[in-house]
Amino acid sequence: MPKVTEKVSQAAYNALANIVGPEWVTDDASITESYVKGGEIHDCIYQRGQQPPGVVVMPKNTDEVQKIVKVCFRYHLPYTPIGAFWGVHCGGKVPFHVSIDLSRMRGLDWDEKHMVAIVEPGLIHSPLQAEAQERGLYTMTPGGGSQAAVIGNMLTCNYSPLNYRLGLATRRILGVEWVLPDGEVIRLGSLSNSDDPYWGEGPGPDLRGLLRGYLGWWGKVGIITKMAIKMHPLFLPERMKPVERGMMSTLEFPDNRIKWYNFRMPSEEAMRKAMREISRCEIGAAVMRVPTIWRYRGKSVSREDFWSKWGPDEQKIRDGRATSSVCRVLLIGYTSEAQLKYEEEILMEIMTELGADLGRTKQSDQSWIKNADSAGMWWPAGGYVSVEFVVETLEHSFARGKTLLKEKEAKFTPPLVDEYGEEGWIQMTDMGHTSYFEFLIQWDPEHPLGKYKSGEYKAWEHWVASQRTAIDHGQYTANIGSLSVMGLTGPAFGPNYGEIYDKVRQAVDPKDISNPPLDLHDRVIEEFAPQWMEEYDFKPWTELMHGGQEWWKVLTSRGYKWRDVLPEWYWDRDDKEIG
Amino acid sequence: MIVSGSLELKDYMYEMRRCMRCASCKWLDHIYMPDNRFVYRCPSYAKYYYSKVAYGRLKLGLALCENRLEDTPGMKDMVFQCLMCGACDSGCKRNLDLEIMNSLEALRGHMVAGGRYPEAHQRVIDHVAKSHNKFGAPHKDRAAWGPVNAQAKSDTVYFAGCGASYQDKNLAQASDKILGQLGGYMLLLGEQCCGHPLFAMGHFDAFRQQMETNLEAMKATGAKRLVTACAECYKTWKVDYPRLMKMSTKDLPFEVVHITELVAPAVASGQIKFNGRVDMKLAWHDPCNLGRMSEPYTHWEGDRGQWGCLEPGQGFAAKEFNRGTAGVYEAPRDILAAIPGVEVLELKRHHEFSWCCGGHGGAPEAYPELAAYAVSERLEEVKDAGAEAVVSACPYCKQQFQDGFKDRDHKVPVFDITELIAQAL
Amino acid sequence: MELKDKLVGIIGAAQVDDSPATLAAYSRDHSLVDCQGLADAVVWPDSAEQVQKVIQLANELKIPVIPVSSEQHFHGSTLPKMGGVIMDMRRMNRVLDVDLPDRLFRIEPGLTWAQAQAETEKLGQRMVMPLLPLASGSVVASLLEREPPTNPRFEYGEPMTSNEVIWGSGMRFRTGSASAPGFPEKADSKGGNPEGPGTNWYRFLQGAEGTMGVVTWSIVKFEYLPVLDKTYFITFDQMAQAIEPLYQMQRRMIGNECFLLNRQVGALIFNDGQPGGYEALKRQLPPWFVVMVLSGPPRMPEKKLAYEKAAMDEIAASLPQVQRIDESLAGAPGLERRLPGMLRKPWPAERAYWKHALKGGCEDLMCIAKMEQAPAFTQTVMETAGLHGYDVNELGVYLQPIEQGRACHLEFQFYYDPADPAAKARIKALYLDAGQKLFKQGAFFSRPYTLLSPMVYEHARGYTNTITKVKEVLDPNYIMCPGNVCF
Repeated sequence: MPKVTEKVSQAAYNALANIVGPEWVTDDASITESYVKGGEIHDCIYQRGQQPPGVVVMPKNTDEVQKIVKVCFRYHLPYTPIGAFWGVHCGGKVPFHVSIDLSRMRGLDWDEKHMVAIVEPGLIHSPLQAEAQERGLYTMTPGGGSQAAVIGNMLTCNYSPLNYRLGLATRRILGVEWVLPDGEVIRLGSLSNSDDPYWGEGPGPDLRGLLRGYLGWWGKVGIITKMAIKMHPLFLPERMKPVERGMMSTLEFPDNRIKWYNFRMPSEEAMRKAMREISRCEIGAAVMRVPTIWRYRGKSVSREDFWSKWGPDEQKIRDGRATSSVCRVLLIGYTSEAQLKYEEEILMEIMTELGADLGRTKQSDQSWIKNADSAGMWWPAGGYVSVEFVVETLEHSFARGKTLLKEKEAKFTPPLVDEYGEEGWIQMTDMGHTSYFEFLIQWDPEHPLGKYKSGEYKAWEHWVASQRTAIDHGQYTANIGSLSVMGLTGPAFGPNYGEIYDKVRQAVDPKDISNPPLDLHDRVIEEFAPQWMEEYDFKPWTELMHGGQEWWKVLTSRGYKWRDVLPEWYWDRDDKEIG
Repeated sequence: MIVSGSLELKDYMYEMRRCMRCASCKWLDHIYMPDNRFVYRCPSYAKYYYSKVAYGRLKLGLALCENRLEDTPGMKDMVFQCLMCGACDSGCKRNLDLEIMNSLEALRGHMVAGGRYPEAHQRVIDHVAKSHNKFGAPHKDRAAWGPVNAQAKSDTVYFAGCGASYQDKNLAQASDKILGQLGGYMLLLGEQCCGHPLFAMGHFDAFRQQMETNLEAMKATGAKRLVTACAECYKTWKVDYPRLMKMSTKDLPFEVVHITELVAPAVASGQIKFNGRVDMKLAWHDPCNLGRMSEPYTHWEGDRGQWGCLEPGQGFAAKEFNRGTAGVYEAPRDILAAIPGVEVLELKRHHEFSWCCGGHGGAPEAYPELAAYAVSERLEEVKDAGAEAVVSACPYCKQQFQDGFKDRDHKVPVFDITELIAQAL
Repeated sequence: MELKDKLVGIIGAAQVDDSPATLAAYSRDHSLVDCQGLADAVVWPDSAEQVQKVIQLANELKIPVIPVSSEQHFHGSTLPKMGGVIMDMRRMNRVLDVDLPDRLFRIEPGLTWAQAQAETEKLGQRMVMPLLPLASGSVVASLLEREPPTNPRFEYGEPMTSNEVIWGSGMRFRTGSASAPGFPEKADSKGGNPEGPGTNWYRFLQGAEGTMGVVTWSIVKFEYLPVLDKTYFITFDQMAQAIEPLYQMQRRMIGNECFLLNRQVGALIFNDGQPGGYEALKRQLPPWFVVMVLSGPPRMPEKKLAYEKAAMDEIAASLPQVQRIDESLAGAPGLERRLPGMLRKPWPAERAYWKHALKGGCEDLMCIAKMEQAPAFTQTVMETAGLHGYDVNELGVYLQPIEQGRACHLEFQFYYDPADPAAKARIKALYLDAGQKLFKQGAFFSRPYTLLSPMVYEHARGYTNTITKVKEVLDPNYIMCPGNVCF
């Protein structure tokens, strides 16, 4: 049996142990084995290519992180920074890499008056939110959920219905302390000339531009060891109280400052008008159209419970499209109780004019402040991925939904879960200037009839195809950068963003050691589904981009192929199905 | 074919594969997350970090099942540096709904079958085999605590357990007094260790032997009810015995109750009246084995069909969902609240999120530093709550707290709930 | 072939000028920066293609390119410090598309505040703009330079979204969601997302003083025009008294336009333009005053104003330093009615710019600060001004709360006669001295223009190194605006 990981050299290991102490570094395979993502990772080619690290090291402060990175730089060791290990790209992709697990760095500091939380990379959202509320502040909990690391999420996604009022994450990133891949520590914003991180941009050109794009780099440009985050003034006089326990536990809303409304809209046109008019009147804290499947998922207490209702309701959902026509609105009295009453009055007036019916809904925290947890998305079928989650304008959201649905139904359903004509999640962002769109697919990764493999294969292909359709229709997509097939998106967007994107990365990471490689998906497709290059019309990134890719040179000089660097069992079970 | 509660690791391949490392097994429930001080639910992770938490162990279990990993120097610690407290399970059930506690138990069994387990555990196994208690004390002294109200024949059997029989006899004496007020009880002739430590350590064969002995003795009494004041014994009788016998708790020929479940209704109905006054703010510690680990066990057999659904034939409803919320939580709180002068304080991690005292899973024997760490964390919560005493319902919790206070400046008295009840009667 | 000939070849003879008078005009601005050199030529491109060709030529010849897009300049950023080609973008002043439902329009960099305001007003919309900018000022340049809006309500989002840029390398590129293939004609994307592709390129353009490339169009937001406005004033004897009320009102998310002025700035802005008007107003205005505009959207606007006013009253009642909330400002009758409209338009073109009205010149010393730091910073500047013989009664102070009062833009204005070299030298010494003192006190210079940049970038060495790495990708020959920022 081939060895899954190789050893990091003894000299490098010793250097790491000298930095953090022997207790906080290990190469024991019983531990390193678990530094890969599970669920969708092991069973979806989409995220294929994760490798257990050769070494895991757990620093406790910036100084240690810096020293570790310098060791990696010196020994040309690829490393992968890990916050809460929530994101799918958290795992390393090259063998014998160093996993820099930042979980011990969980610090949280406050400047309450200026609404700033200063966080370390191991901190997750729920304690941040809990402590914020004690201080009369809050932030949004992203769709990734309460267990997502705050810094990791701010650097990669950080989307929620509250983006309507709170804007995109990048504007909420303030002072940042950043260990670059060569070990240099830089400070952004007001931290560049003081110890106070309350301001994020500058001096001069804003280096926060390098921290992330619409999505992030997933650890490809170094490690953020400290980040100040803009918080928001909490409008609730008292902390919300938990009610119930177990899976239906939630935080109950007080009735005077925050309220959900569900309106059944008579048509898609009425939905559009409602979303626009709410924005025009500058009311609301969140406005969205939620796909039916999310509602079934939210109400079910188990996978079996879900399928006992979802399956039989197919016709009902197809005919009526009943729940997908629900416009869901959250109102908040930010200033006072009177604001909530005022906004409610306007909302009712708008909805009456549009012929909408007010339905029932629970008045509790549902995916806005603490109660967000996307782990449940794996529940209904076992395999799940968001093929798209992009911010553009409202019409773009509708168009992207129709494009993706058409493709999914024509080519990929089954084995993907049939959502009975649903066109995805849409919500208003940026006070109606823009809109967020998300399209999720689910599949059964291990159906006993063999759909296991075809399910993940089709999910992967759907994801590749979605990038092609974005290009064909001039639609924007989240699948750009390291979360895309670089050969597909690299030349198309910008155009040629891939070229400067890769060059910037190389400038910051000249040895290509920070969570390489950039073009994971191109590599894997080249080896396992080369026919897609013709079908979706692209060349692999290596052919387009010369230079860089240091890590691949190292690997290929050692004769590696993906087949070799991945566990044997991994390919054995899939080879028969693919290609 | 899937058998609920299987002890075979390979039967949990689905759970181990479907774990996507969301870490609900590690962090406290987000709704109840109090602050950035008490953020974890898993003592093992909080002490050792890395991936020494359910998701890490599930990944290891998968690698073992798929023969991808041979023994490593750290593997034993990876598996056994864990309190088997079940906090992870209640977290997972909220999100992914995987049977991770079962998987961890089976992983231990797998390791034990390969001869890979801590040496210190062997001493406990030997003690139980030879002396029928975990301490290795003489079996003949088991009832030396001096039953006063025991009867020759009763519908109720009192199962004292090793802790109350040898370690903290007060507890047995208090139970004796309480049960005396509730119509009396009989002892289990030849009572032996329930086997809890053996099960938690993964020694299922040895456990089965204890189970059979005790069940035989119980059968001989003809009693309709077994009562215990020990949370570990309670969980063993209520959950593990039926699980190994492939039957549901409700189908046992006798009822298994914790003493608080008898006292609470008696207090409510007025059958028990508290005369003594205890002017104290008491922190109630939910023992893992009284709460989340002791939900009634439901046995089922079936298959996993499309979308991963379990298909036992009768649809999903045939599966009982154990999510940690159906343990014994309110009875002890109600009892304490009924004692004049008592104010019951909640610790920050309570109910199914309760933080383990550290006294379980073979940790005190093999990894005393983990046991010490766990209790010190809990005592920080006690201090944080401003409690004047801490109360639990398990002799091992009490022992842990007493040990934990030894090296601390902040000290408050520790009680087992039976002691307080007996005192207030 | 000479440079001029090559430029003429690209852009046409009429749009290239190297006459001494023109070159001299472009080597001066309203700043204190002394520019010794002259540009080699000035060009007026009309298209991205022309911009790209000029940049490609500059790369071949390794000569600087300095884009300018406004008529007047304040910070020394557009001076040809090392010669080169001045690229005057003012011919590119079109509105390319209007996306009314999404409240976005695609505009060229030469589009002025006056044009933008007129365009949006026609649509029943408004620009959110900084405090009374020059009518001839470029909207795109203002937004790229992060000039703060007087209306903090909309600060959760970026004021501009996608851009087209010709990087210093000559690469033509669209940032944000306008990067979608086929944009704008054949794309579903409307360019509404500023982020990506890959990384956030637009951020490198901000605060860059033209050192990364030339923006050839930007997609910029406008907002709905309120149907009802009401202005309130809160007056104070001392600056410090105004700080807590501002914190509280901003934190409660009350109002739209909101800022604090001292009497000096107030008198310059609000005088009626008649002879003696400034002096009279300066005598009558309170030392400090907060301006707060409450605005109502199309439905039930009165109710919105009512709940916001009630919240203001609540705050006022809890703070002893707030004597009352006034509906008019002493000395400026009727201002309350004109003010909302005034703040949504640039400074009237027919009047001398308010900053220059007093002495012909004005130097702004501006930083980002926490509002609680503002009184101490102001004290520092006043003391320094005194040391340099500047009349502290003529110090202009403008405090603009940002992001719900989380921070503020703090601006000190020194007025001087630019024709008097001695006065200019005094102000320069004062400016540098005060700037250094504020820097040491913790003021953050987010856009330290020419005079302060050595101090700031030297201090932020790691930052400077890294932004240089980015610069080397986007402008590998360092042709864009050498001498600006840290390049």
